[in-house]
Amino acid sequence: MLSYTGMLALLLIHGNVMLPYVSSQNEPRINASDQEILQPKSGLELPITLQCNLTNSHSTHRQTFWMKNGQEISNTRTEHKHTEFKLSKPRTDDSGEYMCVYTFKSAPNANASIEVKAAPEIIGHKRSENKKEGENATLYCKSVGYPHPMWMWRKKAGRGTYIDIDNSTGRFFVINKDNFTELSIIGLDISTDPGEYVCNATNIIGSKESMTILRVRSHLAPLWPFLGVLAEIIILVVIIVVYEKRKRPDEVPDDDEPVAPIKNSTNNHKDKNVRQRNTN
Amino acid sequence: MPPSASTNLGYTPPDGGWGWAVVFGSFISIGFSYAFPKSLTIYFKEIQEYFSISYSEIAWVSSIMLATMYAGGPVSSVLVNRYGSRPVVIAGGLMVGVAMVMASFGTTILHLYLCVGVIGGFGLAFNLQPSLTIIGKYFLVKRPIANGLAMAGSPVFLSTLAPLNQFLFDHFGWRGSFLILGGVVLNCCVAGSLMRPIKIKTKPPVSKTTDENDTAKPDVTSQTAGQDKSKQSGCAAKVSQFIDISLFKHRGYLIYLVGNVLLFFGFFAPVVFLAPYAKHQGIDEYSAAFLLSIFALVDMFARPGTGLVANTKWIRPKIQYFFSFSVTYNGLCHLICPLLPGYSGLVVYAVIFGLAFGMVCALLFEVLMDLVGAQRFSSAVGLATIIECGPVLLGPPISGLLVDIFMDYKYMYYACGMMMLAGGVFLFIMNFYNYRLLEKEEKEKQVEDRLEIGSAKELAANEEDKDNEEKIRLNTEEEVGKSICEEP
Repeated sequence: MLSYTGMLALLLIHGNVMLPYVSSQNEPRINASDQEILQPKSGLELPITLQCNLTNSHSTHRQTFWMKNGQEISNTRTEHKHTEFKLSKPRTDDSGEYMCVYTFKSAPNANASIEVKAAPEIIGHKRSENKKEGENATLYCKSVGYPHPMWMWRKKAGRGTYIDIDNSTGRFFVINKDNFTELSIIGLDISTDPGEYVCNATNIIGSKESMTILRVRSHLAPLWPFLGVLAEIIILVVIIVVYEKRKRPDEVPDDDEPVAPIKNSTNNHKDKNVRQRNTN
Repeated sequence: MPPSASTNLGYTPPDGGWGWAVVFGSFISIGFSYAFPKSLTIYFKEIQEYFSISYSEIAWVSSIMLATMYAGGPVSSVLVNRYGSRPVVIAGGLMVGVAMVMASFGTTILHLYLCVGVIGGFGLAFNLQPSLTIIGKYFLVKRPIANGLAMAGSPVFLSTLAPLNQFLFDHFGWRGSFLILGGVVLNCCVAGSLMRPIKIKTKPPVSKTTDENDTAKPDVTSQTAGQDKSKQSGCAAKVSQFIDISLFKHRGYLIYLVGNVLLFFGFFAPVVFLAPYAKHQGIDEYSAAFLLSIFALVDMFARPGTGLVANTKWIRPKIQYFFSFSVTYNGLCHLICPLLPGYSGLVVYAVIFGLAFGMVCALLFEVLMDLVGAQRFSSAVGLATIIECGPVLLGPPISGLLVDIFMDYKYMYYACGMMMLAGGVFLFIMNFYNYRLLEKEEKEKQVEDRLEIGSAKELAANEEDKDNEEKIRLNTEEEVGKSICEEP
């Protein structure tokens, strides 16, 4: 015969022992597929399928949908417990943090996340930037790829070697955001600043760089072609005028008659022609 | 034979020799005048960003330049009548050059309007009219060829200036490019220095009879230059010393003006809208730009070709009909354009349109010279351009409005085609009428001349008869007297 207290203790112990099971029974369990690493450039663009399966849930399950990087993906809502998201031809910008989310009638949402990682790819940059000296130049690079890369700016210094940017003059400013970086140079200096600038994006999977050429024009750059054209024009005009002056002693523009008496006779002929034309 | 107006030059034009150098000079001047405003549009995007203004504000630069170029026509004519072609072209070239250099230092958009638009436009006007005028002075028999060759300058320069401007823009930005363009445009001064004035040694009596009615007589020797014998009085006399207003009474000139106003409404819009229409059909940018290149290439060869054809002995006397035909052909091109499908259809359209455009441009000034003669040509062309100014400037915006209202390009093409057809048919009919009247007048003149000669001969014959009768009478009287005296 168990005493009253003994029975209470037993109940308590049983309850304590049961507690984790009870709480784990209250928590829904989701089986999610592993993280994926995309290799879009390798040519083996195998389709990738992300899967989530709700194994146990205490509350009535209502809907399932997918989210990418914190935003819901449209047309993924179903009422099944097992859900798949397929990437048929995965590209770098398909990478990110994917979550399958389960909603319940009277319980908070449950989710599981699957990371799809890829090496960064640089999608936006200027090939060249032309500015006048003393102006400000802005070079930028945009990337896709998850996780978000670390950015670094370097400058090419002859034959494949790179040097880090020398900011001793304090004119260089770098702004790094997740998928975007910007290098601002104020007060361009024509002797030191022109060259090839490289932005480098590195994440745990890989790295990529792209180059922008910065050209600095001097204030007087267009002056030389202008003076050249001016010189050409002056030379041509001088040639034409001199040619005309040398012909002028001959006087007659359409006949090349150098001797006066003959000239008069041709003029007379011309007058005769004129009279004849008029009467026609 | 062409109407007698064209032979009142007072001298025989050389029709060759230095004339071809003058044609080359005109080629350069005309090329700059027509191609320069269009090629500046490459810089508009960067200037728009630099000054933070809207697209329509920057487009005004081009419009003002074109408007002043046309409106400056009469001013240019007055100056050419006074001083001859050469100084005016050189002055025009200098004006545009200085205007572009000043514009490169501009700080506001107003600065650009004034420099590039107004001063540049006037400078180009001073290039256009004299180049056309001097061709009429140097050529008569081969004038259509000379005109065709000179007008070919426009497409050639447009094809050259467009890539050049792009290159300059990439390397120097818009300010540096304007500076360099200011230098390049000074080549108009070189062209002007080629335009040697014609110095004719005419004997005083001959020159007096031939320039009695002419108020425009440049470049003849000092005896006759400047001493106009206009017999009107008051304001009309003063104005007609500068520019020949009596042209407005010239029947052929009025026909030309009305026909031109009709045709210019639909003339330039199809060129402007060719690339947007192609893009609207789904064609990519490079192919659309290639269409314009095809058009320019065909245009380049069509102009001298038309000049050659117009110079033949079959066409030259009836050159007005040839012009009306080319305007009508232009209109028909536009009417069938919407019916041609796909990119190959557009290529075909670009080719036939290029041909039509070149034909009309080559003949545009040749027929005017044919109508009014080389003496009055400079006044004629000045007055014509200021009247054409309206339709030229209004045409593309109205067409753009049609496109916006109907959201379809085909109505715009139909409208342009109809305007040009109307112009062409009008010119055909009126020129038929005009030729008939001219022939009638020629015949009457010949009959009058013959009558004069005939009546002079009759008078002379009558007088001879009278003299003979007198002699016979005198003889018979003598005989009678003798016989009376001899009777006993």
